[in-house]
Amino acid sequence: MSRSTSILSLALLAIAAAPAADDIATLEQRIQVLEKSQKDLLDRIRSLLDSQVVQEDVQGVTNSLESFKYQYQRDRETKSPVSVRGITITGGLAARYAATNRSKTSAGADGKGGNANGTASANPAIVNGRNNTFDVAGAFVNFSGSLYRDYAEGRNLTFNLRFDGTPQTGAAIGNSFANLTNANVVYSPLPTTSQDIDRLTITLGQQTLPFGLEANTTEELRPVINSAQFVGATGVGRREIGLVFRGDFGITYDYGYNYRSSLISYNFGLVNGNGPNRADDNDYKDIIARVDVKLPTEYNSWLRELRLGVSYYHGRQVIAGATNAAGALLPGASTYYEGARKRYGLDLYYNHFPFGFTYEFVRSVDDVAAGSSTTERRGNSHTATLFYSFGSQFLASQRNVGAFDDYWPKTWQPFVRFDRWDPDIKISGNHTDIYTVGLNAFFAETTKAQLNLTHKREKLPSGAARPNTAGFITNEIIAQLQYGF
Amino acid sequence: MIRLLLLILLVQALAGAADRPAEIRIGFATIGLQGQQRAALSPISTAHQLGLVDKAFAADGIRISWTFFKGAGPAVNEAIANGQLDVAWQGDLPAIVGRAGGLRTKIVAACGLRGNSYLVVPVASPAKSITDLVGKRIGMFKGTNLQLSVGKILAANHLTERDFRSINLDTSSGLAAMLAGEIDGLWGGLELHHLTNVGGVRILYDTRGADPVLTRQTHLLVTADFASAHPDLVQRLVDVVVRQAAWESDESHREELFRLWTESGFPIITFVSDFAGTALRDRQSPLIDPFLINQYRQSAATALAQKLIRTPVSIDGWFDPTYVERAVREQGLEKLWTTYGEDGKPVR
Repeated sequence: MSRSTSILSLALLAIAAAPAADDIATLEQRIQVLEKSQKDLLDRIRSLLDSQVVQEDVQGVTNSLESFKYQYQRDRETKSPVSVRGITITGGLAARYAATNRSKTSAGADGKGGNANGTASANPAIVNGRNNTFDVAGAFVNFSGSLYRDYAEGRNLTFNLRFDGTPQTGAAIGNSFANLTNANVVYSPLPTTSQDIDRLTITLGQQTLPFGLEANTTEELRPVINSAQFVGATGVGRREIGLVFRGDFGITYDYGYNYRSSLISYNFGLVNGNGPNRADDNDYKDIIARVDVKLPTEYNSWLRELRLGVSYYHGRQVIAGATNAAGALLPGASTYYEGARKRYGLDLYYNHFPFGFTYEFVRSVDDVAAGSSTTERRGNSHTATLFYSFGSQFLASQRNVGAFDDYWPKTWQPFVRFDRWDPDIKISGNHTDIYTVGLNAFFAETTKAQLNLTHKREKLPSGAARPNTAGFITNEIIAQLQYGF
Repeated sequence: MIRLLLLILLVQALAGAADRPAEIRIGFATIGLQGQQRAALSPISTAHQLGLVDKAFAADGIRISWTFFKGAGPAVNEAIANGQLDVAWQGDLPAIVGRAGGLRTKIVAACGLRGNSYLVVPVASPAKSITDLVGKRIGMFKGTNLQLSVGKILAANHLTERDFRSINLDTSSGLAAMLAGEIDGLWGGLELHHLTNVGGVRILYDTRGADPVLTRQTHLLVTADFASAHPDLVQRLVDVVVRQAAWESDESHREELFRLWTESGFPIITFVSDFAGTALRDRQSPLIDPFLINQYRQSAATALAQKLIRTPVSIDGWFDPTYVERAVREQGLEKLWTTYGEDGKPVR
């Protein structure tokens, strides 16, 4: 084959193999796609290279960690409270202002001594013509924590230690004491890891008595600033030292709401009966018992949180013999007697958000010195409270929601209360009634503002030191800010 | 005549505006890590994150309030029972127990399907399977939809809760107990999977790739009162959820979706691993299909058998698929999701 023929053949072959116009367009498109892919890949590689962790970065993180460890250790040693066991520290304080239409005088015998809010009894220094005052009702600090935690079954051992500071009586300025109020250890012999099983705790030490509602109540059930009169008058509100079992059975657990309800809740214990921070004054150990029955309902039932309770306290007390005006024992009287001290309680409780109602009846039976021996004195108390909540403060779900700020469900709670205390039912016309209407404003997690308007009628029989069968009338307004931490 | 018609239209418009609520209250039966107001796994949580629901109602001046409940499903039930919520996202068991207790609600969309359950053990545990833990102390947060899933898993392995020393522990208590050596295993969900990345525990069993009947389902529900008073608003809400579900079902969005969910506090590897081997459209489908309804029916029966509810509860009439069906039709998504039969097998 000649050279010219070869060239011609190659040219023809090239012409034959040359792509058509459509194919060229397709190829160009492919090239463009490839170029774009190449560009994307290069961008990604650059991005990856930019984000690659290099030795210097690792060294920087290591240095930061070391600095943090040092700072943490230093702060822990120099700026943090440290304890052997984990402790939860809480506390509270109530500051208030009260004004009454009856001036307070130190003489008191003229019937002018109005003290419906208890401020005068809390701070009865010499006063003259006072009808309003600022007051610190009380402050406390509480320590609680775990002494032993049973992770598997929750048979835990915990403790509670609480000090209450209260203004002291007398004319001295600025006196106050921090009294030890709670000092106890609590053991749970039954497992506590499941909500749907029975519970039992054993509390040893100084503690509140499981008597009725008012003496053990929370703010949710006692919206009133002051406790009912019987709490102080009968002594069921004071701390006692002893051993108390608290438990329940017949559990209904509504998993749809994490709502736990016990058919029977029981409390039984032995205590000194001589008040807090002192040993017993006799050999008899007082008995405290309480049982309440709650209907086994699910959360959505209208009968939810309807409960009927009975309480009983049986004790012996040392009674000083009756004396004359000069302080000498009456003829035939003994220096001391040992007499009965009994309390009976019946309470009804219904707390169905947003509505709530409580009623409590208490009877006290005490032997008191009379002449050369003792006589029995019986007192009665009736307390009823009705409240309504606007807002979701008392819904557990609403108190535990995710929030970036210091969120708390604000709640307004108006209420009314009737409180009667008759210290001796044998004497007619010898009782004190307190009517209270009020409003609570819960505006932060541990802070609330309270406003109470009280109307107190104190009836005293004709034989009393300052008789008034129609009753002394005292109207009072109390504004209180209660806050905790 | 024209004036009269205009007047009628004006009155109607005003009446319509007056009927509209000023606010729609939506609750989540979950919360992000460290209490963050973010959730993951469901189209409604992503829609919240992207502000899509708020935008959909902003034109009418309707505010959307979002609440994330630490108390999970039971807290949502309490809020509904006390009139605090209009719409909620929660799991099957709490909703079933709530219905048994008389809560009047309507389930309007599936919203996060086939959630996985995990059984973790200490790293040093010699156990190699569930059966190796028979007689051991196993923790579980009872009362959550985990309990039903675990019951089914154990049954599939010819076991029951009674074969173990079952202890009721919430997740954080359970982890503390296990790391303290007090329990030998712990059931949980995504949060346990997350911890395997941190260390201390390892996964002994999980439902990834297992029979879907062993998994957990979640939904979007509205109160019956809200549904009857504002069906148009429910439809608008479901429209947003379905549109978002379609976006989340697109595999090309997998990485972007997981990255969005990291705002809940979980690292992206947790979602990557949890969703491994699963089509997004199967887990993000909003369809109320026979599989979902049957899962709830089975769960109701299991809840009764396990005495989590005291009276039988009927599932009939609880699901209202009309909203999702309309949204799917109007958005042209009929072919996107697979309808599954009661046994979890595709029917079309």
